Amino acid sequence: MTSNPFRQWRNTIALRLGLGATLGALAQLSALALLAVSGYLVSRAWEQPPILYLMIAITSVRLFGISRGVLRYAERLVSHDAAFHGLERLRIAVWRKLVRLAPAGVSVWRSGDLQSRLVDDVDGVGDRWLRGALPLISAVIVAVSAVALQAVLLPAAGFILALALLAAALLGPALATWSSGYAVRATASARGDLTEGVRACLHGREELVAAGTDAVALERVLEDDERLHDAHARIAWTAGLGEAAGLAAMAAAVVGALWTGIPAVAAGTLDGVMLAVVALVPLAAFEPVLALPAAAQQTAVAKACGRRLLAITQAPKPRPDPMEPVEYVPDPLGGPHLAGGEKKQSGIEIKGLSVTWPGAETPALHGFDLTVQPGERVAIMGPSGSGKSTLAAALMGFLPYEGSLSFRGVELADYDGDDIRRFVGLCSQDAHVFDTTLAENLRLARPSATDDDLVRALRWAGLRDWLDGLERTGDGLATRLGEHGRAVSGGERGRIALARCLLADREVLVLDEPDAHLDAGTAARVLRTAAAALEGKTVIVITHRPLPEGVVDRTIHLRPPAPTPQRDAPNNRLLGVAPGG
Amino acid sequence: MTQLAPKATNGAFDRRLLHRAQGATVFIGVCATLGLARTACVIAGAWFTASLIAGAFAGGDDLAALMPQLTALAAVLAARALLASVQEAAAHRASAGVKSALRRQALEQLMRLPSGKYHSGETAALLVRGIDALDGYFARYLPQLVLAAIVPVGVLVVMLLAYPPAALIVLITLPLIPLFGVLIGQYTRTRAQRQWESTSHLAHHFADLVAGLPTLKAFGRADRQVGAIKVTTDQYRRRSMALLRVAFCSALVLELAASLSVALVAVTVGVKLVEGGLTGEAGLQTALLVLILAPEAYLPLRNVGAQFHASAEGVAAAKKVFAILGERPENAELDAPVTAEERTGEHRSAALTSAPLCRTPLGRAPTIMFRRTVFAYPGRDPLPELSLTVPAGQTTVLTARSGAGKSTLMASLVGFREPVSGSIAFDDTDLSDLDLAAVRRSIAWLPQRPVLIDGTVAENVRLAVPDSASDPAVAKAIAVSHAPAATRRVTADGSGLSAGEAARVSLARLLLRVDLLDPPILLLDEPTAHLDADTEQAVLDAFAPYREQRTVLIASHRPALRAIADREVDW
Repeated sequence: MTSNPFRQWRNTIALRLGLGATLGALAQLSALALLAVSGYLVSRAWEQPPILYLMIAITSVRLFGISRGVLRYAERLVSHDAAFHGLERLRIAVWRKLVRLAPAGVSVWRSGDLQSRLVDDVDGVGDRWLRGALPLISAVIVAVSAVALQAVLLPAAGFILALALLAAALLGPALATWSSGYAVRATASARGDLTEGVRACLHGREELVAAGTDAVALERVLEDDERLHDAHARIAWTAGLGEAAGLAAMAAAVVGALWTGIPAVAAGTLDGVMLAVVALVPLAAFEPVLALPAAAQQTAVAKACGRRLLAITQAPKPRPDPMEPVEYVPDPLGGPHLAGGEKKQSGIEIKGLSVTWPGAETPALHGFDLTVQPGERVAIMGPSGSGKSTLAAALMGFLPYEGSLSFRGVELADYDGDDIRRFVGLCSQDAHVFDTTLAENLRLARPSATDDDLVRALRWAGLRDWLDGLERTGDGLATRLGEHGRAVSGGERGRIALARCLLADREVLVLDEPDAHLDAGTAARVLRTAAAALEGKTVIVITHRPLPEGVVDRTIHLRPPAPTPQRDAPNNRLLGVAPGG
Repeated sequence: MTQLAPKATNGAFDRRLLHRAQGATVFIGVCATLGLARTACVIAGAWFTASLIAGAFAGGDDLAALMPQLTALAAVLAARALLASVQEAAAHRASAGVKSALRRQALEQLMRLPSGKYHSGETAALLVRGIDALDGYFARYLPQLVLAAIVPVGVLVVMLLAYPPAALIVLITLPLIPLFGVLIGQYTRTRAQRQWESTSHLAHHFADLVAGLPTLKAFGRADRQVGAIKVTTDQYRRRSMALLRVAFCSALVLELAASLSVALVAVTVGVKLVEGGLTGEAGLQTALLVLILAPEAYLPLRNVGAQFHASAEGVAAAKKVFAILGERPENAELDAPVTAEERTGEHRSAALTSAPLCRTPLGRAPTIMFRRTVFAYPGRDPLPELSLTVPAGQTTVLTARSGAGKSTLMASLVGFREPVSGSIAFDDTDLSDLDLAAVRRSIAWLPQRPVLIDGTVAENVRLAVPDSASDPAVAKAIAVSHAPAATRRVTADGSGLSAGEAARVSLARLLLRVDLLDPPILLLDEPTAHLDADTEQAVLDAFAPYREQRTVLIASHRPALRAIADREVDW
């Protein structure tokens, strides 16, 4: 964050934004000057002096007429470019934070919500300069200039203009911000409920239509819409308050200028020629100030976005890395590793392991013991809620733990998280298929893999037929997958994840429900092939149903932790009736 | 940031939106009335200002003599502020009604369209956040558009009466603005289209990375994505700036026309005054009047440009909603009576479920026959031809491999998939000859991913039948299926329940339907996928009496389910 190139880069953005603000202010000052000089020109012309006396005024009116538009154009280009640069920086900063937290530190947010929030919020914060700060800067510059000009011509009018501008600048945005905040608060709950209801309704449409309950469900959802509608209608009157306050202040400034200017002309303290200038300056001065409510709203939106981003990115790191991590040395032979003078320790040794998710009160896994020899394949079987996936997260270094969890005699807690994942691989049930080619999707496991490696991994993962199908109907390995490409079924996704793990070639592999979306026949075939491919690796298979013969060397049964969580009462009651399994 | 070039407004779109909008004509009328009042304020304000300056400077009047006009000016300017507030409030009220109406129409339409065409999460965001963004259109853009039509005309008329040459300058420059707007809009349209696509691609790229972050982290690849983000964002910036350089030109034309014509008016009037063409207090007043009025002719147009940005998001959302409303429901799903009603515009949501509830029209527990049926999905190889008899009153378990079409088979029985060839028959009657609504009433179907709505467990179970179910019936279904307590809160995203609990809630729903409607056919798609072996057995034991005398079709590989099968089918 504090590295030199980074700071340099930030300075470029600051420079661009400063240039944009200057150009914007100059454009607004042109508008002010245009109106002021025009007023002078007309008044002076009425006195019918020789036209030569007016040439400077005429020329400057024309100049200001052109410069305003041109300056504004330049300002827009410069400031947009700066904002885009800022956005890039912001995205990367947010990404870096997220990387530290994933997955245990951010899973409290629903993923769809998190994603749309992130993208929108980052854009929203990026808009802060463009639509929030820049208008404010040029408004301040123009307001100060106008007040100075007015005060030179007629101090009293300058004073009134200053007061009116100040009132408009403070009251307008304050009212606008209050009303939009009020609107958000008044509608938030109805809006959230409605979104979820609509989603559920659309998702379960076929079931609802078949049961004849689509209209019932729809009406329930539309009740939330009714609430949203009522809230919107109730608060409608607040929407225009900010604009009205600005216009009222402008009215006061114009009337005030004439109210002080007319007696001054009569008294001879103000040249009559300048009365038009005094009356017209407020009109131009208020133009940028009247835009402030919108700018303030944009700033408020950006601030809310920023707060939400902070809430995500400032969450505590779920597993702090050790201060002095043990350096991980890959074993060139792939076999048991001798660390220093210690006695030969190998495999995974787990003693009294307790793991608690961030924010949870009771551990999801409690007092767990297991020893896995190098090259051994062990299945861990248990009902949902028994902590199987928690064990996987702890083994991956995603979660902190109590008790002992060692690999080759070294506690995992003493390793850097990233180092743990260099020797432990995870084939997860929620593995993501990226919106890119099949090859790219696999190569993220091993960037140096050749096409042959990819094909072999796919074959081992039981996707040979699928790949053949892709060769025929798509582009083979170059077929695009994901949302904008070819749809991937749950079973295919699981096997792509398996292929990745085979490619990644880690010493220890955790397979989390690798057969979740497969039928028994396919599952047996895939697991046997994978087991053969993984010969010599230490493998832990997590499953909630028995695995086919020969896939694992032994099976460990896992029960839910003793202080049973309240969330699955009927399930536990049933378990009480028929223990074991 | 994503709100780019002001494109030429789409007249057809505005007409459609206003046509859809309930009370839109009233709203436009209110806007026009308020717009006329605001125009009058603008003209009166300019007139009083000009006469005050002229009176003091040229006429030598003092404050006391000018006090009535000054008071009038204050009143006019205050009225202008008040009108702005009233207009916005009226617009927001009107907007709330329009948004609700659009939402209801879109939702009703979506419930008739085949599932899977629209991503449910994205569509939900579109219908709530997207449609809410229409506020920008109704409350800001539209009133400003009305003002842009009224104010310049009023201002021009007054200028024409006061001093025709100045009016001529405005009259010539004013049309240049929409003209250039259209020209530039047309030039940028194709490029803008590509730009929007790249924008959505970019948004998706970032979201895709975030969704896959756990996967990337597991493989130690997360930090390297910084480079990918840099490249995508940089491309986005380049393309956007190339477009903006052109797009901002229309704003440049607007600003230039507005300020240059003010300058021209000032110079023209100034020269005329020097030459003695306009003399006396009245002459100065006229000159000042046209000078003050000239910028007012352009102001609404400039504001339209600014508000067009504010409305862009809502307009984009509304266009997507119209695309949904414009779709025709597919044949297989077409409930003739409902659609007929809808076409005549007499749509009521209650009409979504047609015909009163009655007992099954099918014989008790029919035999279901698939004769050489082939199902196909676009873009995929068709599923293999299948002939299958599901015997009456027995339990048949389908154990075919995943992807073999088990779910498709079930969906076809409730009329959501149609075979491209072959036929489906209940006893000896072809499915296509039966009334689909009646068939659906004779079936209790538990799909693979059952629906959950916001509410209690009991309310979710009640979704079994269109009518309200009695409390004891609901309680019984919940008890038998070992579902969580009836009063437990469930959210639509399922976050209140574990996967196993959700499965039991939907099973309770199925049992309630069986209890109340006595359907002769039960379809269960992976009913115990999320249950452990003990729960599974308990649930199946409770389910046993429900299977008697019914044609039951179950898709599963689980041994416990295969154990209860009278017949097992694989293909």
